[in-house]
Amino acid sequence: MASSRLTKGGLIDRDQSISFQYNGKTYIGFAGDTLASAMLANDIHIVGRSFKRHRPRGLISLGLEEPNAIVTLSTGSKTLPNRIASEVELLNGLDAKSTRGWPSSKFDIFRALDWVPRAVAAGFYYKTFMGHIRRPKFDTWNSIWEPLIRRMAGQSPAPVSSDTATYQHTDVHVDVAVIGAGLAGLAAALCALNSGKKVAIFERDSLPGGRVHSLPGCTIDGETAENWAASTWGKLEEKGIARLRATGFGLYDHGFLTVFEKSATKVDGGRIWHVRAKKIVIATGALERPMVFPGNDLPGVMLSGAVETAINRFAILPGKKAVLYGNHEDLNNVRTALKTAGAEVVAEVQIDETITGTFGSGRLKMVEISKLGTDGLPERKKSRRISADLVVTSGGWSPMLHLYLMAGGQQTWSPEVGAFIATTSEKGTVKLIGAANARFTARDALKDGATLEDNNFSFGDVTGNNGPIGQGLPIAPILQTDKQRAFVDFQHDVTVADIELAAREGFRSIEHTKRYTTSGMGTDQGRTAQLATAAALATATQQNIQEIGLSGVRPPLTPVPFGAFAGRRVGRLFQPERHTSIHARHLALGAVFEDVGDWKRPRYYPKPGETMAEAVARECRSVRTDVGMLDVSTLGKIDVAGPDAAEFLNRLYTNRIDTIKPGKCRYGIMLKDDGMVFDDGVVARIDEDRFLVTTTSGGAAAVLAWMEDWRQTEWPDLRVRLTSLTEQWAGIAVAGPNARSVIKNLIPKVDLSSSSLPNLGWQETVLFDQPARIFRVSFSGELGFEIYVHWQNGSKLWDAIKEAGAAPYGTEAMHVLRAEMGFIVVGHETDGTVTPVDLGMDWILSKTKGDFIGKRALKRPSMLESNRKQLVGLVPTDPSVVLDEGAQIIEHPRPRSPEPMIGHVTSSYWSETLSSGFALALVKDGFRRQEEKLFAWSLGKIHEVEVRPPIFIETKKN
Amino acid sequence: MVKSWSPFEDIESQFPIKGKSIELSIAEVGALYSIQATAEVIGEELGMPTDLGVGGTTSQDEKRLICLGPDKWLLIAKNPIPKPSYILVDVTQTQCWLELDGAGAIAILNNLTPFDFNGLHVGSVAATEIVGLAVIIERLTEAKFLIGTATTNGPFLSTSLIDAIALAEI
Repeated sequence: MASSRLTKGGLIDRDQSISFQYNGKTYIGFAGDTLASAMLANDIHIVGRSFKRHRPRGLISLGLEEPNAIVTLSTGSKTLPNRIASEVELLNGLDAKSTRGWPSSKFDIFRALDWVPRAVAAGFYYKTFMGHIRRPKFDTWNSIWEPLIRRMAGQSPAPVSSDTATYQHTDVHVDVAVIGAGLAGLAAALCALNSGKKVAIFERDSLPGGRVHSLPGCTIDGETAENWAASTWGKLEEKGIARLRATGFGLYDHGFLTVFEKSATKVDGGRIWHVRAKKIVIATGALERPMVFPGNDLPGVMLSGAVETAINRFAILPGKKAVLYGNHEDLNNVRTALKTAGAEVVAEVQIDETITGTFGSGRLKMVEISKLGTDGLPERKKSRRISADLVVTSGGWSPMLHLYLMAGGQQTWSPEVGAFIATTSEKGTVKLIGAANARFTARDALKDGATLEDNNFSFGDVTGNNGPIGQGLPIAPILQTDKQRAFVDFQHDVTVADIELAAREGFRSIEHTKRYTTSGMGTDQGRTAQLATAAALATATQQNIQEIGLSGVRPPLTPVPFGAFAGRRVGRLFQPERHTSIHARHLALGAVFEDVGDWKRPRYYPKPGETMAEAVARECRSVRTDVGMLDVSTLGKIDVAGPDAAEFLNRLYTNRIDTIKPGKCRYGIMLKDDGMVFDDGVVARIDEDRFLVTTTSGGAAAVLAWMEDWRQTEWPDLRVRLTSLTEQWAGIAVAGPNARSVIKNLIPKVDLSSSSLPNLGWQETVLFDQPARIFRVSFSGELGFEIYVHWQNGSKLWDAIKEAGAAPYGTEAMHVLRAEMGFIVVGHETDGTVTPVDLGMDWILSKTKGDFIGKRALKRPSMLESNRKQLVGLVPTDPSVVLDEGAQIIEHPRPRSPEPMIGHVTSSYWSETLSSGFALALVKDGFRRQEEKLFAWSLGKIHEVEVRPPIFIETKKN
Repeated sequence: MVKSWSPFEDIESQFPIKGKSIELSIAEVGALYSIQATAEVIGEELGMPTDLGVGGTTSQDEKRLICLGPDKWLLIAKNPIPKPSYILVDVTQTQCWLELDGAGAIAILNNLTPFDFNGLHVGSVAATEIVGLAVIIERLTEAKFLIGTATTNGPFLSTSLIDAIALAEI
C-alpha cells in the first residue's frame, strides 16, 4: 500500500485496485480515486513544472480549481491535452504524463531560469523580442529563440492524431436547471420537483453532495449528509434529468445553458447538453483561495479544503507534520481531521505572524514563520524555522460566480464576506444559491435551496459539522519580503513582484494587468489567482479592491475537448453534400468533382490516362468546335411573383428589369448597399407578374435571404413573394456551334431558329410529359441553350442530350470558356471590394430607372478615384506560362522591399484557342495600362505579362 | 407531379431502418405547393379553413394545408393539381420526406433539434433544424413524425437520423 494512504476510511473501494501510469511508471489506486488523489496517495509530490520558471509544483487543490496538476492523457495512439488531474477519474490503464519538464518533471534543466533574477518578469517577451530590433543576418529568432521558448513554455502538446471518440449533443427543455449538486443545489432541485416542475440537475463530480464528503459528522433530518445527498439524488434521477460528471461551462441569453458530461467509463468521449430552462439555478459553490507568501508554491503547500478532502474522501494523509496558515476559523476542522488521521500540527501561524519562506527540494521540509512588525511587514530577525512537510493554507472562500457573470451578472466587493459577491442573487432567469450566493454553512445552503419555489418546502435541522463558519479576516497582507517567490498565479507563474512591476509601468486596470502579466490566462482561468492578483494590484496602485474588481470570464468555464463541440458532425456527418439528380451519371463518367458551396460539381471528366489539363483542353475544344453539355442544376433559382415583382427586382438589380418582356430574359448584377458586386445571374420574365431569377450556385441562399430581408423589412408595401425553386428544376447547358442540331430532335415542338428563339429568349415546352423550359443563353460565347426540366427528370435529359452527340464538360472548362470571353464569376473577379465600374461594366448601371441598391454608394469620391483596381486581361510574354491565381501584380522585374502590389490575378487558365496561358486580373488604374508590361509574382517566381482588354475571343454571330 | 426519382436512390434498399423501438422510413406525401398569401385569400382560393395558427394543419379532400407563417403555407395534395391556381407554386421536387415512428422517436428528435417536441401537439407542425438542415416536422400521432427537408439534403438527413438512432440511449 502506498505510504500516504490511510488504512481505513474514505469513499474509495479498497476491493477494486486500479493500475495506472504516470510519466511511464505504474502505480496502483482504488475505485473512487481521481488521478490526483491516486498520485498523492502514491507520494507523487511533483505533479509538473511551472510555466516560465520551471519550478517544481505540487497539488494545491483536489478540485476544479487545481492549477498545477495539468496532465496529458493517452489512450491508444491518441493524446488528450490539458486535463486537470483532480477532475480525471481513475480508470484501469489510465496513462498520464506531466505537461512540462525536460528531461523530466522531477529533474528539469530549465529550472536554471528560476535562478536568474527577473529572467522571465512580466512583459519579458514584449521587452525582449518585439519592437525595432535590428535583425542580424542570421535570424536567431526563428532558428533558436522561438523553438527554444516553445519547448520550454506552453501547456500540453497538441494531439497529432484525430479524436475518434464519440461525442454527442443533446437538447433538453426544462422548467428548472440546477448547476451543482451540493446541498443547496439538491435542495433547490427537490423543491422544484415538489412543485411539479420539470427539473434537470448537473453535477461536475462523480458523487452528489459537494462538500459533504469532506465534512464528516454533518447530519440532515437525522441522517448523515452523505446519505441524504445520495437519497435525494436518487429521487431526482427517478423523476427528472440528473447527471453526474456534468459541468456547466457556458450560460447565455434566454436561459440557454451548455453542459459537458464526461464519460463514466472512458477518459475520452462525452456529451454536450444544450439546456433551455425557464429558470437557471447556479449552485456551483465557492472556491478556496490560497494565501500569498514566499514559497507558497512548493509541493507540500495545500489548501485546507484539499487536505480535508484528501483525508475524509480519499483516505490520504498528505503530510505528517503540518503548519496551519489561514485567515479564518474553519481551519479548526482541518486541525481535527489531521490529528484524527495521525498527523502532528507542528505550528499554527498566528494573527501577528506570517510565513516568510518555505524550504525543500521538490518537497516541503522546513517553514520559516516571522512576526509582523507594527508596519505590517515581517521582521525576519524574529523568525523561527520549523520542520514540516505540509502547510495547510486558506485565504477564505470566494463564491464561484463564473456562470452568473457570463449571464451578465455583476459582482461587488463585500468587506463582511471578504470576497466579491453577486450584486443580486437573482438576475432575470438566473438565481444564485448556496455558497455561490455567499451562504457558506450547510444549514444556510440548504435553506437557500429550499426556498427556490414558494411552496413551504423545508428541511429538518442540520446538526454536527456545519461546514465553513464563514469568512474570518479580510485578505491577508500581501506586502511580503521576497515578492519574487510569492505567487499569485501558480499556473502562469505570476508573482507579487510581477504585479508590482506592471503597476510601476503604468498598468492600473485589472484587465490590462491580466494581459500584460498573463495572470489568470491559463487553462484554469485564474480560479486561484483572481483575487490575489486584484489584491496585489490594489496594494501596488493604492486603490481599493472594489475599484480594481476582477477580470471578466467567458465560456468555456473548464477545458472542453474540441471533439465535444463538433459532436457527431465529423466524418461523413461533417457537412451535407448536395448532389444534383444527374450525379450518378457524372460518377459513371469518372468525373472529378469540386465543391461549390455544399454542391459537388463535376470539374472535368478525364478519359483513361488523361491529365486534368488534357481533359479540360479536350472539353474546351468540343464546345468551341462542336457541342458540349454541362450540368447547371446547381444554379440558384428563385420564383419572384406578384403585382410588384418587376418593381422589386428593379430596385435590386442595377439594370432595368421592368422592360423585359415575357418570353425574354436579361443578365443582371446585384450590388450590396456599399456598391460592391454581390451576385449575378439571368432574370427571365415568365409572365407579367412572375420572374424566374437565377443566382450563382454558391450564392443562392444568400441571395434569397437578401431578397427576403428587403421584402420584409424595407419594402413591406410591395406585393411580391419569393419561392426557392433551385431543386425544382434540373438544368443542362448545351453550348457550341452544333448545339442547335443536337437538341432540335429532342424538342421538336420548339423552333430553335434565331428568329423564333433569339439570344436571351426563352420558351416553355413539354419534355418527358412534364413542363420544361428552354433558354437561349450562353456563358461561353458560343451558341448556347439551357434546358430545364423537373428535377426528377434531370438524368433522363442528360442521357438524351448525350445520346444526341454532346460531350460533357465540367466547371474547369466552363471557366476557361467564360474567361476567354471576359465573363466574370462572382467570387473570382469580385471579392466584396469590386464595383461594376471596376469591372468595366458601366453599361449595366441603368441611367433611366430610379434608385437601386448600391447606386448612391457608387457616387462616393473613393469610388471615382482613378487608381481603383480595374479588371484587365493579362497575357504572359512566355505563352507557355499559366500564371498562379492570386499572383501579385508588380511593376518591376526585381521587386524592391517593400514592392508596391498594384493588383492580383483573379482567374488564370490555359487556352487551347489562343495556344497560350491567359488571365484576368484586377490592377490599379488598369484601364489606362493597356499594352503596358507588368510582372506577376507568386511564390518567388516572376513572369512578365502584357495588359490587354479582358476579352480574348470575339463573340460569334449565331 | 409526384416524384418517381428519389434522392435516396443510393440507399433506398436500407429502408426501413428499425431498432430501439424506432422505425425510420422514406415517405411519399404527394404534390407540394408553396403558398404565400393571407389566410383570407387562401381560404377563398382553396375553400379550406385557414384559422389554423402557425404550425397548425387542416385536411380536406386528400389535401392538407399547413400554416408555416402568417402568410406562408404549404399545401400537400395526394395527387397533383391539374391546373394550379396562380398563388400556388409547385415545389414538389424541392422536398423529400422521412417518417420516424416509435416510442423513442421523440427522444431522437429532441436530441437532434433545439425544438422541444414534447410540446408539439398531434396534427401540428414545427419548422426547425436538424444537424443544421432546415426541416419541417409534423406530429402525425403520439409517436409518429413526418420530416421534410430539401431534396438534396435528404441523404444527409437520413444518415444523421440513422446515426442518432444507433447512439440513442432508449
